[in-house]
Amino acid sequence: MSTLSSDNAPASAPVRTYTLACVAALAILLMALVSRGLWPWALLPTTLGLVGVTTRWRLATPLLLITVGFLLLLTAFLTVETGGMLPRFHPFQLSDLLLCGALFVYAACHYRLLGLTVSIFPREVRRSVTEQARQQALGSPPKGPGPRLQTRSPLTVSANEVGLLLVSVPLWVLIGQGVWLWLGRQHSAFSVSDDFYRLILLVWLLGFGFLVVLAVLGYVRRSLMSRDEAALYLQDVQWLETRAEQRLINRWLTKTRRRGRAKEE
Amino acid sequence: MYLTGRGWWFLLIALALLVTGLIGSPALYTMGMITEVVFEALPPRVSEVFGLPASQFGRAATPGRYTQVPVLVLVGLSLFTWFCWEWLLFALRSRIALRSLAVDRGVHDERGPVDNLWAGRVFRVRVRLRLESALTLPFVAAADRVPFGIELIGDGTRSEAALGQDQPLGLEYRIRCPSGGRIRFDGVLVRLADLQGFFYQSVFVPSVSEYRVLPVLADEIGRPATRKRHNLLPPPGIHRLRQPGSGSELLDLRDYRSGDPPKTIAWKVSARRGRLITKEFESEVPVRCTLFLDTSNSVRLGPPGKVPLARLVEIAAALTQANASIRDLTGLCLFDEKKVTIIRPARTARHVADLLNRLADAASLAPRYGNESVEALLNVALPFAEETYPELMDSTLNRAPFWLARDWPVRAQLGEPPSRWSRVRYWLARGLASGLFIALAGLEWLVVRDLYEYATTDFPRQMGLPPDYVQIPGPVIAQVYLLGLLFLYVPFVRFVCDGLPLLLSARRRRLARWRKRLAALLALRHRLGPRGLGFLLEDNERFSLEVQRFLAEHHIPYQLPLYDARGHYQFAAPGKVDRLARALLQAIGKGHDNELFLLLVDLLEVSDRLEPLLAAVRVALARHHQVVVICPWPAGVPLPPARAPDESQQLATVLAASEQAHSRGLAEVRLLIQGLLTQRLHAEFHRVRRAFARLGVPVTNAMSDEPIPLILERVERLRGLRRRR
Repeated sequence: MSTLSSDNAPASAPVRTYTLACVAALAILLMALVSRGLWPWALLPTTLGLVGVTTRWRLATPLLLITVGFLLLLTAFLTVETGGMLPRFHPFQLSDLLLCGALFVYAACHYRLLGLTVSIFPREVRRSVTEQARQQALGSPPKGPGPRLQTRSPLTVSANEVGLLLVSVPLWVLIGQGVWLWLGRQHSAFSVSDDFYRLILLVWLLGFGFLVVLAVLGYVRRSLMSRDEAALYLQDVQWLETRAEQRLINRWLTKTRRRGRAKEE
Repeated sequence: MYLTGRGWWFLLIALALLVTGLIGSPALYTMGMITEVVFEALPPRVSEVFGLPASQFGRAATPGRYTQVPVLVLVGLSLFTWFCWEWLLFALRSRIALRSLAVDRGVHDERGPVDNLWAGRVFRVRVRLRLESALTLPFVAAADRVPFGIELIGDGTRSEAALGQDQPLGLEYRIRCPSGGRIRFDGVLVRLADLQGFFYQSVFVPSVSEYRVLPVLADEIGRPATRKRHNLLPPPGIHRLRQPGSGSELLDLRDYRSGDPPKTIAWKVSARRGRLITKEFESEVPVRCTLFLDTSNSVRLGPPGKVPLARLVEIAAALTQANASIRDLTGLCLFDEKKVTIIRPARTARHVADLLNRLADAASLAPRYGNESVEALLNVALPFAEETYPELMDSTLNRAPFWLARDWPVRAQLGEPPSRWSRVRYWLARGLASGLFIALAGLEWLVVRDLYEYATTDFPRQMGLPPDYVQIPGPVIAQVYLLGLLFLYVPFVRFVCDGLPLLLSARRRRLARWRKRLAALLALRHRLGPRGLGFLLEDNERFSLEVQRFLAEHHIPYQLPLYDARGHYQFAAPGKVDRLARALLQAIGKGHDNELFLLLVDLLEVSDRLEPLLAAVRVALARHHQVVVICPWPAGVPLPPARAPDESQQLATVLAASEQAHSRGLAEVRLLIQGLLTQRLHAEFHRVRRAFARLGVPVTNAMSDEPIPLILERVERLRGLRRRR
C-alpha cells in the first residue's frame, strides 16, 4: 500500500473532484448492495474503497471488484443452497445498472486519482545513460536504479475531463447490457448447454475481434514505417536468409586480416 | 506500447468477473466444494453465522443446479468493453499520433538565435513539441535530452501537457558549455499514458541539432573580449623585425658590398669614414605563426570536459584570436598518428572563423581503441540505443533469434592476445573434453564388441543358422569404428568446450542478443552495406570501433582500458612524432623569413623517440625560425616542479605520501601507484624539457595554473628576442 505524503499531495480541484466522485460511487454501491440483501457485508467493499481513496492504495480497485464479485456470487450461492431460485434476469434493472455504474465510476476515478497523486507511469528501472554518465562525471555515481515515479500535474486536467467520464458511464453500462441481451438470445446449435455455448461464442467474438484489430493496427504500423525501419527490416531478412554463408565468409576474412596484421607486427 | 501492471490487474479482474458470471454453475459448484471443506473444518457455531448449517453444503454442492449470475456478466462486460475502447484509442494514438510529433529547437543568446555557441557563456534552449495529427494526446510527458558535457543552469528540461494540433508543448532551459567542442541535441523523450495509467508508451522524437562550441573569445593578452578596443586595425607589418628588409626604418649601417643598390648608400657617413657605407632597413614582414595541434588518442583521454585536448584547443584558439587582433598570420596543422591536416597561414576573418571551427571539431574528438571489451561497450551503448532509437531497437523489428548464441562469441576473433592462463585453460578444457571422448569411445567399444560377438556367435545359434552365417571381419569393424571416431572427435570437443558453456550461460546468451540488435542498428546507421550486420557479428575489433564511433557521435563518454594484456600503454601514439616532424619540415619548406612554430603536442609517453622531431626543430632553428613546445598534462596529476628533483627525493616523497595515506586508512597501494605514476610523468616532462632545452626551445606545461596570457607573454618575449637579434 502506498501512502500519500503531505508534500506531494496537491490540494487541487481535480484531486478533490475525483475523490468526491469516488466517494459518491461508493455510496451508490453501498445502496445497490444493501438493496440485494447484503447489508452487513456491503460494508466490506465500501470500506475497502474508502481506504483506497484516502490512502491512495493501488490495490483498492482490484480488491473492491473482487470483493463485490465474491459477494454477488455468494448471494447467488446462498439463494440456491437454501432451496430458493435465482431471480429471473430482467434487462435494464435499475439496481443492476446502478451497481455496474458505481463500480465503473469508482474504478476510473480511483485510477485517475492515482495518476494525479501517486504515479501515472510505471516505475522506470533503467536510468538514463546520459544521466548516469553525468552523475559519474560529477562524482556521485548512482548506486542503483532509483525509483522514478512521475505524477500527472493537475494543471493538465481539462475542464471537461470529469464531465466526459461521468457522461460516458451510461454508455458503457448500456453497451454491456446490450451485449448481454444479445448473448442471452443465442441458443446452442450443438450438443452443449446454452451457457457454455454463450461462453464459447463470447470467446470467439473477443478473440476474433482482437485478431482483427491487431491486424489492422499492424497494417497501420507497417504503412507508417519510416525508411530506416523498413531498411532495418530488409537487412534483418537478408541476414537471416544468408547468415550461414555470411558467417563463413566473415570469419575467414577476419582471420585473414588478423593473420596479416600479426605478420606485419 | 505495453500494458502496465495496473492495466493487467484490471483486465484480468474484468475478464474473471465476466467468465465467472457466464459459467455460474461450475463457479458456484467450485465455491460450494471449497465452502464445504472449510465449513466442515470449522466449529458448527461459526457456520451458523451464515444462517445455514454446515451439513447442507455437502448436499447442495451438486453440478448442474445453478445458472448464470447476470449482474456479474453485466459488470464484467461493461468494464471489459470500456477497457477495450481505451486500448483501441491508445493504440491509435501511439501508432498514428506519436509518429506525427515534430520538434523545433533553437538556441538563443540575449540577441537572438545562434548557430554556434561559445564556451563559458550562457545560452537559452527553446524546444517546441508539435503534433501534426488530428488526434489529440490527453497526457504527454516530454523530456529533452541534454547533451553530455554541458552545464545545465536551473531546470526546465521536462514538461507535461495535453498535446493537440494547436496545443504545442514548450520547454525552455539554460545551458553553459565549460569547454570547446561540439554538442549534439538528439531529440526529445516523450512518454505517453492513458488517463488511468493502463497503457504506457515511450518514444524518442529525433531532432538532431549539432552545434559547435567555439573556444573562449580572448584578446591579444588573453583576456576575454568584452568590448571593441580599436576602431582601426593596425596595418600589416606592425612587427618590424630587426633584420634587413625592405622597410622604411633604418636598421643598421654596414660596408658596401657589390650589388647593393646605389640608393641605399649613406653618402654622408661614407664621406666621413672614407669608404662606401650602405644603409640597412628593417623588415616589415609580419609574424607568421603556425600551430601544430596534437589530436592523437593520447590527448583525447581524460574525464569529460577535462581532456588535455580541450586545454590545447583553448590555447590554440586564444593564440589565433590574439594573432588576428594584431593582424599576424596564423596557420594550423592538425595531426595524429595517421594523418595530417594543414591549413596555410592567413589573416582574414573567414580564415580565423575556419580555424576556430576546426579547433572546435578537434576538441570533440573521442578516443578510439579497437581492442576494447565488447561487453563493456555493450553495457553503455545498448541502453542508450534503446532509449534513443526505440523504434529501430524494437524486438519485433530488430529480432534476436534464440539460436543466435550458438554462433557467438567467436574465439578466434578476440581482440587481445590470449593470456597464459587463458591458453592453459583452453588446452585444459580440450584435454578434458578429449579424455571424456576417449572414455565414452571406450564404453562404446565395449558395447560394439559385445554386439559383434552376439552377431557372430549367439545370434546364429539362437536363430538356428550356421555359425559362419554372419561374416564380418573384426578388423573392418574396428576400422569403421575408428574412422567414425575421427569424424566425431572435433564436433564433440567443440560442443563440450564451446557449446555447453554457451547453453548454460545466460550472460553470454544475453550478450549475443544485445550484440545482434546493436550490430543491426550500427550497420544501418553507418551504411555498412548488406554484409555489415554479419561482419559486425564476427569481427570484434570492427564492432568495437563502430560502437565507439556511435558513442562518440552522440558524445556519450565511455571508459577505455589504458593498458593492454601485456601491460603496454595503448595510447602513446608513437607514430605522431614522425608525422609531426614531417609536417614541421614541410612548413619550414614553405615558410618565409619570420615564422613561429608552436607545437601543442603530448610528448610525455614518447620522450625516447624524439629524434626525428628534434632534427626537424634543428632545421627550423637553422632557418632562424622560432619554436615553442606546449605539452599537455593529464588531469588530476600534480604538476611537475620547476626543477627536476633527484630520484631519492622523489622516492622519499612517495613513501611519505604512502605513510600518510596509511595513517588515514586509505588504500596504500593505490596511492603508491599514483605516486609512482606522477613521478614517472614528472621525469618524462623534465626529459622532454631537457631535450628541447639543448636546442634553446622552451617547453611549457599547458595544464598548469598558468593562464593563456602567460603563454602569450612568452610568445611576445620570443618576438622581443627576435628584435634583439
